Amino acid sequence: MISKEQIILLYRRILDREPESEAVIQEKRPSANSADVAIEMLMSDEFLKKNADVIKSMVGR
Amino acid sequence: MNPREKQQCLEFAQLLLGDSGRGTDIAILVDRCESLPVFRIALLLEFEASIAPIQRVVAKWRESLSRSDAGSDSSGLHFAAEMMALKQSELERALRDSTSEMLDKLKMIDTFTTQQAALRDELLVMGELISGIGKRAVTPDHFQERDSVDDNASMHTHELLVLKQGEIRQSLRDSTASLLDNLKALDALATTQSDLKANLVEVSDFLVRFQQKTPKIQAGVAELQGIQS
Repeated sequence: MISKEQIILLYRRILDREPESEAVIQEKRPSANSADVAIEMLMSDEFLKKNADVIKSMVGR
Repeated sequence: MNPREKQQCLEFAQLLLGDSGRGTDIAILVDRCESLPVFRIALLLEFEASIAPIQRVVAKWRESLSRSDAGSDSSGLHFAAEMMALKQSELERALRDSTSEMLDKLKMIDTFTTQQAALRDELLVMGELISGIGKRAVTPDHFQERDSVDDNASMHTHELLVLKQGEIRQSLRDSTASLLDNLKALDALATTQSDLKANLVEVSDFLVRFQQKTPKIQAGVAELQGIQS
């Protein structure tokens, strides 16, 4: 189980925003570790859309 | 990056790698990157080979990029094919219009040629007539040979002949002027016909080139659609 502070930090450092609600924080807390949540966020459409240009320039080459 | 941004990069690395990041020099990677978004991608690429979940993330990014490129290529080719079909249709219509216009001009040329031939015949007849009248008018014995003492009647006939000769000459001048006008019109039509032929050749060349390109593009579109499906 990970802490609420870690969830908030994951949102800030990966999705560049605050969690939309307390519910989503609680939903992610049972995860085994922060890496699992980080991977989930990095694979999300939101991350892909927000970082499309950087991903295209770095992964596409 | 400023110290605050560098700190954010290190926090991200810690959240993602935890203890797995120990022993690697994350700080060097932070210094090489100009922002947190760039560092995030660079870090994942750095650990792509060694950490399976990260490998899955990068694989998903690559798949998404490839899908996006294929979609873009396919829609670009579709657009090009549609544009070419439209252009081909426009050229075919222009060719049909030009052909129709040329046929009209050719009919006009035929009409003028017929008129010209008729005028030439008319001129020949008039020329012969004038020649005959002229011969009779200048022959002194013509009237002397006649068994007549009526000088007044002879003079009257002579005047009539001169009058008729004048009328025929005037008619001849008018016909010649008309013939010249018709010849000028024929010249103008011949130029138009030549221009139209040149246009037709140009349009035909365009059509041939477009028809040669169209199957290649259609094949490209079909190939892409095959890959996508």
